[in-house]
Amino acid sequence: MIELINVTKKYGKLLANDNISFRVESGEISILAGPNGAGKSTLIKSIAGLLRFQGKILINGMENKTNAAKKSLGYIPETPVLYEMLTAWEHMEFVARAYSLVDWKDYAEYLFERFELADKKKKLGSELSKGMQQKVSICCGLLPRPNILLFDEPFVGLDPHAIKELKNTIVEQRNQGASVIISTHMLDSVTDYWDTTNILVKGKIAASRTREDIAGSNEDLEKLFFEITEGIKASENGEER
Amino acid sequence: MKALTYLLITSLKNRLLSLRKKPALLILYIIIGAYVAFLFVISSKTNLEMEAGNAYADIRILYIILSALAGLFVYTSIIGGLSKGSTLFNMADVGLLFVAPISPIKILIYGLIKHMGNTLVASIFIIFQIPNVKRGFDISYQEIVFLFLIYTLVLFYSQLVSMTTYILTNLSNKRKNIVKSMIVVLGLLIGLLVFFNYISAGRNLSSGLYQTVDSLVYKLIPVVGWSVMLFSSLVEGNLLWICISLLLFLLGGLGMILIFTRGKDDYYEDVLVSTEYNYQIVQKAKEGKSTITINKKAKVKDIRLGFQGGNGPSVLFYRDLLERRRTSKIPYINGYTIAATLAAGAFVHFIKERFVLYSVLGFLIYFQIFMVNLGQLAQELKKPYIYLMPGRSITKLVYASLGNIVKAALDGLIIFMVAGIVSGRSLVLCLFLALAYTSSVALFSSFTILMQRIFGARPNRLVQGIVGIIIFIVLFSPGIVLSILAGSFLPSSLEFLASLPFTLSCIGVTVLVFLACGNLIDKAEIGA
Repeated sequence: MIELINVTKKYGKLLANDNISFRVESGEISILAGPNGAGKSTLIKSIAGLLRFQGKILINGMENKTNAAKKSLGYIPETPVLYEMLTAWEHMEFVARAYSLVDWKDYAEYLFERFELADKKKKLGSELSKGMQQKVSICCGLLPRPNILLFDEPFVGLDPHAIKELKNTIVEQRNQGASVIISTHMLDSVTDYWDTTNILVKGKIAASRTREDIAGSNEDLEKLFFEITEGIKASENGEER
Repeated sequence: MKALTYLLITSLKNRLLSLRKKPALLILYIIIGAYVAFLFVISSKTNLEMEAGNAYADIRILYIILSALAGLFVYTSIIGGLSKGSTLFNMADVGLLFVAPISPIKILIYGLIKHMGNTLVASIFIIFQIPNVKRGFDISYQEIVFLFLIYTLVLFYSQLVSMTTYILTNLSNKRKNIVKSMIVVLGLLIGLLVFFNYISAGRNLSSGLYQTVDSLVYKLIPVVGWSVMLFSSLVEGNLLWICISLLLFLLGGLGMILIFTRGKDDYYEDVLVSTEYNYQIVQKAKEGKSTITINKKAKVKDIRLGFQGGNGPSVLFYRDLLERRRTSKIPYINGYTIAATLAAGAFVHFIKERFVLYSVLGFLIYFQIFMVNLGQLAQELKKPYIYLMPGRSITKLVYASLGNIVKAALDGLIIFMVAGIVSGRSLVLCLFLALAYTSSVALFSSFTILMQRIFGARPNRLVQGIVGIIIFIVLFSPGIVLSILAGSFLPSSLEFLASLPFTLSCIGVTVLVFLACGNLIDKAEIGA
């Protein structure tokens, strides 16, 4: 479970995240949506323990920067950047060592098969295309079998097969009890399987919905997104006039 | 094996193994190794020649150079730290290491070790100065090795200084101002120290500087003085001062590391900004793109917006002008102009040779080699607009090169006027040298065209590099040879004409290449 309590993040005078609180339960996929510059990546980085913030972020009840929390956390960054002088497979070995994993090889093989990386095992990070790097980055995030998964724009640069596999993987992780946060602009990629969503506008949560909230209505995730973001824009323009 | 050890060892192993796939690079390394060995042999021979009669220069000149370099590195590190900071890490570390359950202190040690290795490799070029150092100063190989190690230590230390500055001043303008004030105060103190010694040495600048670097007060100045203290005590074999200087470096380093790791919070956020920033620069550099927009954000509010002219291909020139106005208060005059002018002024002040201004011209042209890929034309050829807009190919190429040529003309005038005034040479000579510099930059534009014409958009970088050097020599040789001949035959009253053959040759070759390859835009494909 992920729990954010009054999380505020400032960059100088810029308020990137303003007093954000929400929970993502076990076995739940939560979508972080919002226009560019809304503070989505900042929030994901704060949850991953890469940024300082005011407030509290709990991972399975533990503060997110503790080693115990980190062991159960998988982070797939927006830009896949691999070690240039490590092969794809050596990235797996490195992650296994970093997380003190045992019996990881079969699962790593399985992930490589699934994401069509089996023939790229011996390729150096610098020799892989951006899409391939993204796949290795996903495998690195999944290898420790974390029950908290943070995806920052995971579908960008992937081929259709990889997008399908990633979607299936995310759903499987959810079904196995993982809490998943996905920050994405590609709302049609998550429309089939999202459980909750938080729409961020200018660092604040402008709307929170569950799938049940809009079930039966004519709304879907994309419509909801436009309704919220354009509604705010229209009201701001009205105020300015 | 733990994760961090695995990472370091595997990366190093793969780096060596990857040379199997890059035989040309392997050959290059072997050549560099052989060259370094050759330098050692040559310098030992020079040593014998020097012992035969000529006097060595005062070793304190070397202390001054070392200390000036240390000052420069530390100053630029602090200035960098006040904006973006520096980093020991890369983006892969951020994505894979920082989120892993590994102690931040262990990760910091890993970063320090990795960076130390990179710094050593990056410092290798100083070895090429061995013959000069051996020829000029009475020092042994062992002392040269010490000099190399201290230089590396200072470079490494600068990175720590930059990170510390960023961590301490991040988000606090008040602290930034304090640091800026401290730099000014320290600069003034050093200035006062030099001035005091200058007066006490009977208004002799050289003696004043020697006394300054000899003084204990100066040697106690962090990094700048410590490096002199360490090197001078190594040369003199003074064990006590060796220990004291090493202790100062050690305590300073530990103090900075303590700042990174203090309190509950880790340093991840502090290095994240600079790591992302460095990543962007490296990516742009790898793609051969200019990093100017990353290094300096456009101050749009300071300047008049919009194009000042341009219709058809000439818009390429005005676009370049607009960008230059947005990155510099005075178009075409930037940090390079100021730095090159100061360096040239200092150089001609200390070197009193007849052809010293020609040496300045040589250095300026030499620097162009590194900047050719960042020039206006090279950048324009990587974007689609020049290919898409209507107009004659040659006209587009001329307009796309014009900005660089105008900048070279202004740079040349400023640099040589200042150098001319400092050295007391005639202004006519300075004008001719500025003209020679401008024509050489025009030749570099034609070099860019020729390279693109020969190799197309996606060249093999190594082949391009080797062939590029050959083409470069072929293009420049006629002018250089003719000017050397002219310089040796002309009477001193007509010395200013010595650069004219070079200028005319550059212009001639440039015109020829533009005419021969002017259809480049119609034939070539867009760059990678």
